[in-house]
Amino acid sequence: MALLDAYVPVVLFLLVALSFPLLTFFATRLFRPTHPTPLKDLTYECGELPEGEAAIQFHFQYYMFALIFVVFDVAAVFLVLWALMIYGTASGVGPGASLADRLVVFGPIFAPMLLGFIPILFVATQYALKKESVIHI
Amino acid sequence: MSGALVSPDLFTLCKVLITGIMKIQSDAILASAPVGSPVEPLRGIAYFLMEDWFLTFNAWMIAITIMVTWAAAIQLLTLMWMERKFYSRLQDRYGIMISIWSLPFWPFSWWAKRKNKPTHKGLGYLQNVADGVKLLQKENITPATADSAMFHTAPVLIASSTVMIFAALPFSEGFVIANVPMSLLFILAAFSLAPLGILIAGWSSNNKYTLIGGMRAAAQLMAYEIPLLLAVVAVLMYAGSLNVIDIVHKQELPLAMAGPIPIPSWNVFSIPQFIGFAVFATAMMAEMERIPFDIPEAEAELVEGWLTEYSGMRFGLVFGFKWLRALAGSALVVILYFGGWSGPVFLTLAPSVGSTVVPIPIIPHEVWFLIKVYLLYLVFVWVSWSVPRVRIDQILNIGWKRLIPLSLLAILLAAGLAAFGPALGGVR
Amino acid sequence: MAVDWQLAAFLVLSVLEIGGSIMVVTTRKLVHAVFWLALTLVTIGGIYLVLQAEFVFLIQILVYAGAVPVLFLFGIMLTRRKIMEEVPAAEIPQTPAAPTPGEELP
Repeated sequence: MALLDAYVPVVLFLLVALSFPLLTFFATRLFRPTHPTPLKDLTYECGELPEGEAAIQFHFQYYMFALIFVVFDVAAVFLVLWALMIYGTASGVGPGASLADRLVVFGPIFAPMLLGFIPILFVATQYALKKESVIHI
Repeated sequence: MSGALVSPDLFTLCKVLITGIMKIQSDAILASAPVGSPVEPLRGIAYFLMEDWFLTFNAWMIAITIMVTWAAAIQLLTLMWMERKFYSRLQDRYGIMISIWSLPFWPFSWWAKRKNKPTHKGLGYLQNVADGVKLLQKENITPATADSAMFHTAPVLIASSTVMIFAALPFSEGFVIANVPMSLLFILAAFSLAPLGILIAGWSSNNKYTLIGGMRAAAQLMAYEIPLLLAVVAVLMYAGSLNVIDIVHKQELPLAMAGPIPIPSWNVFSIPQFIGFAVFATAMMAEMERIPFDIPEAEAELVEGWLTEYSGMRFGLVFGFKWLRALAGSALVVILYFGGWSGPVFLTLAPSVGSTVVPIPIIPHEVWFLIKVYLLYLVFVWVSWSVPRVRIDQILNIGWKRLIPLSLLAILLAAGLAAFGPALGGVR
Repeated sequence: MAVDWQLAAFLVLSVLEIGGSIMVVTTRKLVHAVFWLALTLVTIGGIYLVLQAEFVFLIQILVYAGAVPVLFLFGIMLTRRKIMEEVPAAEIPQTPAAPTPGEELP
């Protein structure tokens, strides 16, 4: 339960952090004027009257980048998890272990992980991003 | 924990303070309401004031207030002031110089005649306070066709997620609110909540140009989070833990001696971590939406980008939180690569207050941390104000096609050196 | 009084999560639905934390609350503009009246 004890101030901080902008907004009601005119209600387009709807030609690349981001975010998370387990403070080697001991511990994990996973990840990024030759954004 | 001014813990200091204050109040109430007098029920209040959960709650509230004021008010103003003075000097002008002597009433320059008033002879630190006060009293204009619920929720989302970073970001070993076991990932998670708020803000203003700015900002911020994560993996291999305080402790050991001065084993002094530092610093500049990665807020093109339609204090909040993210980003770079708050303590004064001896180190860890953060932030400002803006497709190109392979290379090298380095004669 | 803080936290988070998920499916505006989805995912992460799985909580915030609602928003914006506004009641397709049971079975 030491974990939950460590997160108690985070919960209190979250309450303070949520109320901080809300209090700021309500406090400014005392200070600011309120004179609405029809001109103020228009959206800003550098001084011109806004024409048409606020619909633009959406490019597909935005969606594709978000999709690729989700995939590689999860892959990066797997890398974090792997590094934490192997190189974490609970791993089997201390600072004084010799090269032979380290080879025994790290070797079987090193080869497939680093020589297999990371090159595949690299090739995957390059392939996914080569599919669009010019980025239209 | 020698060397830190706030020791052992911010919470402990606040608890001591609040216990002292409550004890004084409690004793005063107990003395004024003796047993048998008609105001005896007041003794219940005195016993309540000294209850443990009440003291703990108040101590946490004071600690949180101190941290939020320190980070979101004092450091924010200092960073804004430093940036404005620095880039003004780069542009060969003096910069902001309004100071407290510009106020036209007593005891400031009330005596000078109108043409001799020294309005522009100061440091300029209060200019940002004046800007904040100006924003407070501006009218709050909401576009009539905007989605009102989302328009008002988006700044709250951005502001709260940025302030949440400071729940786990330490300014020294003791100056931290919550030392959670995986604080580095907590900080990165708080960083990653921003693109949602920006996209909602840009969309709900019902303005084509804020929508473009919001979508570009979300695409850019998301594209640069993966190099951040991968560079963190490389640091994790060297440090063995995701706890920020442990990462700094690993960097305190001396690496070599340059004459009488020991060189500490900062992460930036090792080859894979240097590549990781280049990747992390570039990705952090893009996360801070700083020029050259400024397209979402391109001032010459989209006025203010996704926050054009905000006015008054809403604008002030989201505008100010760009600097807060800059503070958090620079602090993160210093912690991961430059040894955090570690630095030599030259002298430790030990005056005794009452019956306890209070050690005051010179120079304490907090000051070392601030020195490193300010220097790194000035380097970021220097790069910002010297290079032109990069186009959005070039930004995404750099993020996806150049930084990710570099960080994967850093991970490969770091994995090899961390596993076999200490046995091969300490190669880093 | 001994308050079981773990149970209290779980109840508060569950109420927020169930309320958020109800709002996701019943709101008329799609962008509001994405916002409530983000809230639901964050509170699910909070429940992971109450169950003492800190890494899963942080990864939930990092991946789910940081990327998946943005993905949804980009997907929504790819469609027609009218989709992003309130769907008027006339356009909701009505299901045809279901036959009474017993009519069709032999």
